[in-house]
Amino acid sequence: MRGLSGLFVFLYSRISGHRLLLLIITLAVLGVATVMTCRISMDEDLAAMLPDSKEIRTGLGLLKQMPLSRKILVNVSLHNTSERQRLLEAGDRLAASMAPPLFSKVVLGPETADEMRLFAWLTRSLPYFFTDEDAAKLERELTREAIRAKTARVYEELFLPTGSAAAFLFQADPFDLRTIALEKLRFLSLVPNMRLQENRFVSADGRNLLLFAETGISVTDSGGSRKLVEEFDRLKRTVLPVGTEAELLSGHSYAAANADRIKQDLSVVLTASLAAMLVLFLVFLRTWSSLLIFLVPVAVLTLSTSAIILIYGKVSAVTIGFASVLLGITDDYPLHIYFAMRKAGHEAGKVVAEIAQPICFSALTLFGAFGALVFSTLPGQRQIGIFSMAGILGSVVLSLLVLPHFVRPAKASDRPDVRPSRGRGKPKGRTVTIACWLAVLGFLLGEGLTVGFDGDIRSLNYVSKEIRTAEGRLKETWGDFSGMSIIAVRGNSVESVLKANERLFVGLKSTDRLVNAAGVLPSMASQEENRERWIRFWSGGPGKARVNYLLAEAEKLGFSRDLFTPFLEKLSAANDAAPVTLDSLRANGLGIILDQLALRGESFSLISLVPDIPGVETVVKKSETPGATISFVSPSHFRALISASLMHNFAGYLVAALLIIVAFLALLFRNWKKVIYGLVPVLTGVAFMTGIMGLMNIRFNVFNVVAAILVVGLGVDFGIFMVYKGSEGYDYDTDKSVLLGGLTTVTGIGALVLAQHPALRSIGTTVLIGLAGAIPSALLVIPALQSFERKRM
Amino acid sequence: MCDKYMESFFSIRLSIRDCCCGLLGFAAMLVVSLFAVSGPVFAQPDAAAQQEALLERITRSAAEIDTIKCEFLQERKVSGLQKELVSKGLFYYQKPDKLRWEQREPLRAGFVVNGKRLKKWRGQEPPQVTEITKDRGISTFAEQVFAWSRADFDWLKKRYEITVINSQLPVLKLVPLSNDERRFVQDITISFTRPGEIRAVEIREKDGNFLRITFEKAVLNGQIDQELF
Repeated sequence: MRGLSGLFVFLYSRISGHRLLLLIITLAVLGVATVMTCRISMDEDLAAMLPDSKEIRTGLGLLKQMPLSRKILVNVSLHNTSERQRLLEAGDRLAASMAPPLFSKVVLGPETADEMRLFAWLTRSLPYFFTDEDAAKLERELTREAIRAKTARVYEELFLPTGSAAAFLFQADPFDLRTIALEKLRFLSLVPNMRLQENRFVSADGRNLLLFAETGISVTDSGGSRKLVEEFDRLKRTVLPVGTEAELLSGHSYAAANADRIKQDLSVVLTASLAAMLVLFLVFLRTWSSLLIFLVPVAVLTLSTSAIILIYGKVSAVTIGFASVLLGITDDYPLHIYFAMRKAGHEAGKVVAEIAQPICFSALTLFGAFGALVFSTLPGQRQIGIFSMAGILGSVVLSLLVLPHFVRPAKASDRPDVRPSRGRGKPKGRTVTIACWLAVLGFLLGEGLTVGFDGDIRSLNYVSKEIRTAEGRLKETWGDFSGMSIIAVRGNSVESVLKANERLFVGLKSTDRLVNAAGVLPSMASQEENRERWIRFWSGGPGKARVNYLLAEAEKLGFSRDLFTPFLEKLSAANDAAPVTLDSLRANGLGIILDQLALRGESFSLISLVPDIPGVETVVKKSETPGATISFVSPSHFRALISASLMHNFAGYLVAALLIIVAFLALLFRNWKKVIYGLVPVLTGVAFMTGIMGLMNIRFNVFNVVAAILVVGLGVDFGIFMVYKGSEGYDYDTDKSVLLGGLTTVTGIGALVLAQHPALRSIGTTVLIGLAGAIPSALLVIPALQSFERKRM
Repeated sequence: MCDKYMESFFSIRLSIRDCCCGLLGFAAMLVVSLFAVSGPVFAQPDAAAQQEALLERITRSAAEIDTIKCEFLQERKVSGLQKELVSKGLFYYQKPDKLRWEQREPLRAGFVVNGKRLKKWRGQEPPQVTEITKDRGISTFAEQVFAWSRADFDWLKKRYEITVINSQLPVLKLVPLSNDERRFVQDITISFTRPGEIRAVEIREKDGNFLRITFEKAVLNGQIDQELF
C-alpha cells in the first residue's frame, strides 16, 4: 500500500511541473484516438450477440434462408372501390415506377405471361407425378357412379351462362386428372391465399395484389432503408390511381422504423439526461473545472474504441451500444478525484496518493469482473469485455495522472476540514436498516430465481403502428406465412437431394401447410417409376374400364365419342413430355417459388417449410439418405436454444465475476467482514435486478444482460469506496461521490427507460432497477453494518 | 373438386371463356337497356363521331337505370354435342350490386348475387349460400356486369374494341383485345330490333361453338321484390 501511495506522490510531483507538456501529450493521444474512432468500421450483425455455438450458428444461417425473407413485399389494395381493373392498374403502375438504384427487380406474377402454359404443361407431365397413392385414389374415387354424376353435372352446367368453362374442362380432362398435379402444387404455396389473375398475384377476395421486389440495400443499412421507404412513400403518393393504396413490408421497413424510433428515443432520453445532469451539476458541483469530470468518460470512449479497432479491425455495433454503460462506470473515478482535489489544498500529491488506493483496487476488481466476459460464448460480450477493460484502464490513467493537475482546489473558506472519517458513528435506525435490507434481499433473491430469459430476438424489434397494421393486413389477406420451421436438404448431387427430399415429403405431407417441392419435383428414379405406373394403369384394367364408363355415360347425354379423342390420346402418350426438372418448372412459371426453395451455393439444397410443431425433428432424422444431409431449425427451438445459452452464459458470468470480485476484495481488505461489506451493493443490485424483474415478469435478453454487467461493476465500485470510507480513514465526500456516480449513471442510462424502443427500454429498466438497489445499499447498509460492528467491539 | 385445389394454390385461370360469355351477354343487355333510355342516336353522319356520341349518351343514361327485369332464352352450341342446348328463365338486376339469374327450363337452377353474398341452386339440391369470392366464375361475371352497369367505356375500351356496325337496326360488335380472351371468344354481337329494344346477344367462340341469349319483355326501373335477392 505504501509503495502505491509513494508511487503516486512521486508521479504527481514530477508531472506537476510539466502541466503544459501533460496537456499536449494528453490531447495528442486523444486526437489520434478520435481520428481512429471517426474512421470506425461498424459490424451491425446482431449475430455477435448470439452464443457462439455450432448449433446456433447453423440455425441462424438456416433462418436467413427463409423463403421471402429477403424479398420486399408490397401489398396493393382497393380502397373505397371494387373495380378490380383499377387494382391491376395500380400494381402495374407501382411496379413500373419502382426502379433502380433503390429497387433492382419487381415481380408482379409468374415469369411466363401465358396463364394456360402451366396448366398445359402440368397435364402433359402428369405421368411423371403419378404415384402409387394417386393410382389407388383414382381407383377408389373414380367409380362408375362418380363418372355418371360428373357427366350429368357438366351437361346441366351448360344450360347456365357460366357453363362454357365446364364444357372446356370436361373435354380436356373429364376425370379431373389435373387435380393430381394441382394437389402437388399445393405444397408450393408459400403464400397461402394467393391466386393468379391476369398473370398477377391476387388475393382470394380479389381486393389485394402482391408485388415482390428486390433491392441491393442491406437491411442492416438503416440510412439506405430509410431512403427506400421514403421513395416508396413518394411513389405511392404519385403513381397510385384513386381508390387504391399500398403498403411495403420488408426488413427495410423494420430497419427504418427502428432507426427512426431510436433517433426519437435518443432525443427524448438525451434531453431528459441533460436536464437531469444540469440539476446534478447545480446541486453537487457548480464549478467550471467540474466539467472535466464529464470529459474523462468521453475521452475514455475514444481510447477504448481505438483499442478495439487495433485488436479486431472493426467494432460491433453492440459494443458501441455498450459505450453508454462504459460512460456510466468511468465517470466514477474522476468524480472521486474531483471531490478529493477540491479538498486537497496544498497537499494535493498526498491526496492523490491516498485516493489512488481505492481507485486502483476498484479498477483491478472491475478488470477482473469484466475480464470474465472474455471467456463468454457470445463474441459480442467478449469484445465488450476488452472494450470495458480498456475503458477502465483509460479512466484510471486520466483520473489519477491527468485530472488532478487541472482541478483547482476550492477556496480555503469554502473548503471543509479534511477530517478522515470512520463513517457515521451511530446511524439512526441501523438495526432497522439492516433488518429491512436482509428481509428485502431474502425476498428478492427468492424471486430472482424465477427471472426468465428471452431468446426471441424479434421481440426486441421496434414495430411501429404502421408496420403492425401492415403485418396484420398481410396476415389477414394472404395468410400466415411466418413462424414456420425451416428444413434444408443439402447434397453434392441433385438426385441425392431430390431423393432425401422425397422421403421428407412422404413423412411430412399430412402436416397442414407443408411447403416442399418433392410433389412437383420427384427424383429421376421416382419419375421413371411413376411414368411406368401411368402406362400400366391406363393400358390395363383399372384405367381402361373407367374410360369405357365415361364414353358410355357421355353418349347417353348426346355427347359425341370424338369429343374425348384428344384426352384419350394424352393418356396413351406418356412419352410426350420430358421428365420434370428444375429448369422445366422454371420455364413454366414456377421460377419465383423455386428461387426461394432451390438454392445453389457450394452445394445444391432444397428448402422446406413446416409449421412449428413437435415431431418434425424425428421425421427429419429418418429422412437422411447417403449423399444428402438435412438441417432443421424451428423458431421455438431456436428461441429456447438462445434462451438456455443466455441463461447459462449469464449464470456463468455472475459466478465467475463474483468469485473474481471476492478474490480481489479479499486481497485488498484482507478481512472477511470488509469483503462482505464490499459485496453488499453488488449483491443488493443483482438481487433487486433479478428479483424485481422476476416479479414484474421482465425477462433478460441479449441486450439487458450486458446492462446487468454495469450493475455488478458499479456495485463493486460503490462497495470499495464505502468500505474505505468507513474503515480505512478515508473520506473525501465519498457519499457524495458514490451518490453522484450512481445518479449520473441513472440519468445517463436509466433514462433509457423513457425510450419506446424495446431494446433500449429493457437496458434502461434493468440498470434502473439494479442501481435502485445498489446505491441505497452502499450509502445506507454498509455504514450501518460497520457501525453495528463497531458497537459490538 | 377442381375448385378446391384452385382455392388452395394460386388458381389457374380456366374460366376466361366462362367469364367472357356470361358477362358479355349481360353487358350487352345492359348497354342495350341504356339505349332504351337514351333513345335513337344512329342518325349521325360521321361513324366515329356517331359512336362517340352514342357511348357518351349511354354513359349519361346509365345513371338513370336502377333496375332491370326481363325474360331470357339461352341457346348454346357445343362441338361434340349433337343437339343445341336451350334454356329459359328470368333475369333481375338492381343497382349497384344485386343480380338474379333464374333458369326455369329445362332445369330449375340459378344464382343470386347480393353484395358479397352468393346463393346458388340447382334442381332439388339444397341451395348453397356462400361468399361471392368462393366462386370465381360467378364473381367475375357479377363484377363485370356491375361494371358495365356503370357504362364505364374508358374501362371497356381497354378490354374490347367496340364498333357500331349497323345504325339502322343497331348492332354493336365487341372484339376482345387480350390474347387470353381471344383464345376462346372471337367476338360478341349485340342486335336490336329497334333502338331501345334488345334482340339478341351472340358470342362466337372457337371451334364453331356459340352462345346466344335473347332478351324479351324487358322492364326498366320497375319494382323488384327484394325477396328475390
